[in-house]
Amino acid sequence: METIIRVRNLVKRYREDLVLDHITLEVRRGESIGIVGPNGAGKSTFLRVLAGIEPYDSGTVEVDGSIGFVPQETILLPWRTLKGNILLAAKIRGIERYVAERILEENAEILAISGYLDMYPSQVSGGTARKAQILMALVLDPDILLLDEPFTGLDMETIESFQAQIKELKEAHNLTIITVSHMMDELMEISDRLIMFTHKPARIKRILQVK
Amino acid sequence: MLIPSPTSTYEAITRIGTDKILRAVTTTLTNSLLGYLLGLIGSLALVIGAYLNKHIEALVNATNTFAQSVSVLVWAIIFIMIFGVTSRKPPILVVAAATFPILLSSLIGAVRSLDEKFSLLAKMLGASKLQELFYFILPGTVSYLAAASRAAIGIALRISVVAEAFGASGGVGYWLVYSYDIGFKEGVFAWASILIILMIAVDMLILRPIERWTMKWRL
Repeated sequence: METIIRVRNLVKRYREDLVLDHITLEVRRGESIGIVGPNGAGKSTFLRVLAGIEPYDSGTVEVDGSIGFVPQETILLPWRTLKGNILLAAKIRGIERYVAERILEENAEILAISGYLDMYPSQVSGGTARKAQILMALVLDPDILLLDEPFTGLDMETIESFQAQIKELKEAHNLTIITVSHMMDELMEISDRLIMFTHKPARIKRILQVK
Repeated sequence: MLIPSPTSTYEAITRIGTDKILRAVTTTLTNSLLGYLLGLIGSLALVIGAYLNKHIEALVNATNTFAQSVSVLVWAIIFIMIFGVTSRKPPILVVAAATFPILLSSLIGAVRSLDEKFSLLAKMLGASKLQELFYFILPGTVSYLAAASRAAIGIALRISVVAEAFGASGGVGYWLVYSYDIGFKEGVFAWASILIILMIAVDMLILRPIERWTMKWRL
């Protein structure tokens, strides 16, 4: 399988504070990677660097595809419905409305939130809002989906169905998925490989082949 | 008696007559609304300018400090000196000067907090500064603006009356002072009561519902 993300000796500092310490990692197209590590290890920073949102100090990051990033905190516009939020993302990226609506319909079905699309973020649960945030990333038709702590605050039953939906999304779109969490068992179910980060500054402690 | 009874105040209201009251109320409302709109346009223009160009931000903050430190009485005298007693401009401009710092302060705070909240979303979507402004920031300011406008329009009505008192615009403030000048104390209380009723009505029937409606948009 071809490599879609190639990270070599990535170093990231916040002022003098070393956060990512020479991370080297390759991700293959269609692979699902879980990154696990203690709170504050730098997992989210790593994801943001991959997404191109955070700059880095040294090393190289090569990404051969488009990225959809889903942050840990849900960021939806409270004055727009879930559908309005998702279609706005597509509009900003210059994606035709009918294309965006088709992608939206397909994926809303998989994520089981079709019935909530006309509601406002304040009218839905945290889990539904998070799924809308995933749809906001998916409507951009990405090759790679980056999920930052997607299961935080969800109950066990919701996590299980959410995991199944993420797997279905991956299969449906041949997505490469990188998910970050501080709970290893949350990632086991959806990952082909688990990357374990050390305490800050983050280094790769271990790589575990799950499937 | 120094303070007239409610009955004599009511009689004074009926003596003044509906036509005169409606004309005065319309004048005061128009002065307040036009002044408020001027304040709103000025504050919005400055905040948008500061958002798009960081160099303007210092100018906006200085303007805000200056506007807050000048008394409306000073503005009223200056504008009457410039435009004359019979002009309709002084009350409108005084209201604009009084509401401008309220709206500007609120908008500065709103834009700062919205920018903080949505800058990540803008980066995620690759939005331009202009797209961020029109899709995230400006719609987000509506709820903040509704709350600030409620305070600003309340002040606008009160200030408009003060400014009218100096001139001859024919608003509620003008007739209130005119009644005082001719020693018609029931008239003073009648016009004061009309003003209070007007302010409560505007607040309860227009401003409060708008604020409540936009509150659900607040972050």
